[in-house]
Amino acid sequence: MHIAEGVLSPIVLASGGVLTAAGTAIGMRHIKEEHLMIVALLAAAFFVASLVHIPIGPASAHLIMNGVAGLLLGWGAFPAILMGLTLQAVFFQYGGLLVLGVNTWNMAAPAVLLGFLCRPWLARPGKGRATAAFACGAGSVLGAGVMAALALVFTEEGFLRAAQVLLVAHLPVAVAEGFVTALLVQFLAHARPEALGLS
Amino acid sequence: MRCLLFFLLVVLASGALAHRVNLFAMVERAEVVVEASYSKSKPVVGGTILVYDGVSGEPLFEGHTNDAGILRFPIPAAAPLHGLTLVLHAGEGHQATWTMDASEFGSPATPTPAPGASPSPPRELPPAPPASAVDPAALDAAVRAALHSELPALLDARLDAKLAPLRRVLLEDNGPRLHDILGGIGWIVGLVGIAAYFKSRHHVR
Repeated sequence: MHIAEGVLSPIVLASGGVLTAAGTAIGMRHIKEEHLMIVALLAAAFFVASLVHIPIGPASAHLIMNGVAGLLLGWGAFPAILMGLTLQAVFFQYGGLLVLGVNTWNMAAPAVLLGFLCRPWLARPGKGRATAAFACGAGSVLGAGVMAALALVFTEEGFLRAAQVLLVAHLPVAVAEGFVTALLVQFLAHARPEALGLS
Repeated sequence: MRCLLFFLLVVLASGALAHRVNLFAMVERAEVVVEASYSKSKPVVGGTILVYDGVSGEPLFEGHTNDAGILRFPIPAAAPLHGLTLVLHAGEGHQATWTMDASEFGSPATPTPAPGASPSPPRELPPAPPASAVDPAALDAAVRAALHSELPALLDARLDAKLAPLRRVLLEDNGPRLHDILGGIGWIVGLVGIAAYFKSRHHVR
């Protein structure tokens, strides 16, 4: 999901940078002081999520955790994911600093969109809430795959082939992420309803 | 239904690999051996390797890695002069580059004699002398000359073989290390701390 340095053309890199800058600016204005710690927690969760390999049979996949950020933070997911991706690029060489804009947009934009769509359902206890959380978690992963494929449209691979590969490869991640998101939201609804805006 | 889902997950998950690819290349005799892996040392199967001239950037060779993530190709003629740049395309936006310096391709074909050593080409031994009558100086010179012509290439090959595992260990990628992870979390706490500080000052005013 992290596109490497040197793959994309300058136009794609610049567009990603501009979109991410706009999203981050909006996000920074939306974050209230009392929500700062949640932003930090979700940025840290995003930062380490890719290191958590979930064994699925003989293979393993890792989480992305963009959906949770979108669901809990809304626009605030942009700065949180930007922070996580910057540190992943610097410390783990995942992606790179030049493609940071594109990668942030790929992961944050679907998460923010789905977050807004699914959020109203969080107020309904039980299955409605769990389903909305699952949809947001799983959908954000697949949405990020579609975004990454869009960014790759001008490369040799082309949109369709990249989308195919990315979506097929990330289907298990999406399912796993959906479950994790649903579990987390159910837990927060009981332990910290104010984090979901339910109190 | 659950079984089907599980089966799908197992089958598909092998495609979802980490975000980083590694490329490593070395000279082995007359070939360049390229190894491509994702982090955690999973081989890149069927990745495209593009080989360029290290100076002019002219494309020299294109090939695909095998099931073990390895590609072998003969050393291009330009390599000992200009070096090579190798680029790996592993799909889904995964890419890595590796540069090989011209010096990696061993000594030039005609070794220069070491200063002070006898520069003479192997002299012809006197015709059929009795074994005991061989001129020791001539024999010595012949042996030196033979050593000078063959030793560097021989040493290069032996050293390449001996150093290859060492180089591989140096480049081995075991994924992110604990101090990187903790450092990153520290950064997040710090950055949000700064943000909290500025937001709180705003508040006081």
